[in-house]
Amino acid sequence: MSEDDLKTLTNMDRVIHEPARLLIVALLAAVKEADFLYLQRESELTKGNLSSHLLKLEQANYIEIQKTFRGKIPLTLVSLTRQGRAAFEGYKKKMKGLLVNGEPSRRK
Amino acid sequence: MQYPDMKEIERRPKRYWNVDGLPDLVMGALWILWGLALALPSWLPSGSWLNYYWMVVPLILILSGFAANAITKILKQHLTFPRTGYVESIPPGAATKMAAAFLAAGVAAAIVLLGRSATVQGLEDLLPTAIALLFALLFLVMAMRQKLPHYLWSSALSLLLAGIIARNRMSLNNGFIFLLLSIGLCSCLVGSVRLYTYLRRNPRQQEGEA
Repeated sequence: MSEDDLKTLTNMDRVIHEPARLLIVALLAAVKEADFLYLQRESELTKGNLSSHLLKLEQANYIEIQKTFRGKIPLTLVSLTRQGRAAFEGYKKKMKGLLVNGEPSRRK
Repeated sequence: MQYPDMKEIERRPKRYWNVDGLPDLVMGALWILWGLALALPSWLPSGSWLNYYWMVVPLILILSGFAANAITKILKQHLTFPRTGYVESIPPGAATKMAAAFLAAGVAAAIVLLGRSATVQGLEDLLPTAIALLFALLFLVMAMRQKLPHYLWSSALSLLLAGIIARNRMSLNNGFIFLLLSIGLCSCLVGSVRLYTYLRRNPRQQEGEA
C-alpha cells in the first residue's frame, strides 16, 4: 500500500466508516425516505442501537429525521441529506480506489 | 459487525416492493380483467353495443394499467408498512422516464407493424406465442436481477403457455384470452399464498422511536 493510500485510509470519514452506520447510510442512499421500522428490520440492529447511530448521523448533518404520525401511531421518517449523499459517494470512491490499488496484481 | 455488500443493499428496496405478494396479486387481477375484457364480446350475443364497447374498454384498460401501481401502494399502506416498515423509492429521473416511454412506444409500434404484416402473411396467430415468450423473458430477468426465485416459476409457466398456444394453433383473440387469464390466475394464486405467508410471519406492530 502506497503512502497516499495510507493517507486516504487515515482520512476516512469516521462517521460513515463505522459498519452499522455505513449500512444505515447505504440503505438510505437507495431510497428517497424510510421509516425507523424498515431500517431496524433491514439493519437487524436493536431499537436503542439504531437510535444512537441515527443520532450520530443527524449530528453530522448526514440524515434528516422527521417525526410524524400514521393515524395514532408515531412514525419516524429518515432520509439522507444532500451532504450525507455526497459524503457517502465520496466514501465509496475512496474505498474503491483503496481496494483497487491494494490488489496484488496492481502492486509493483 | 461485518462491512455490508453495497450492491446487495442497493437492490433491497426493489426486492422489498415484492416482499408481500401484493404486486403479484394486483398484476394478476389486472391481467384477468384484460382477459375478460377481450373475452366478453365473444361470450355475449353481438349487437350495436359492441361499437360502444370497443370505444370505452381500451381506455379503461390503459387507465387500469396506471391504477395498478396506485392500488398496490394503497394496499401496502394498510398491510405492509405497519408490519415491516415504510420505504419510498427514489423517483426515476427524466432520462429514465423518456427511455421507458420510447421503449413502450417501440414495442407497441413493433406489435402493430407485426400484426399488420402478419395479416397479409397469415402469421398474426403467432403474436400471443411471441407475447408469452416475452413474458417468460421478463420474468426471468426479474428473477435474476432482484433475486426473486418465485419469478422463475412464472417464467416457466409463460414458456409452457407459449407452447400450448403454439401447439393448439389458437387464433389471435383466443390466444390472448387464454394467455391473460392463465397467467393472471396463476399470478393471483402465487400472490395470495405469498401475502398469507407474509401476514402470518409479520404481525402488525407499533413503530419504534428514534
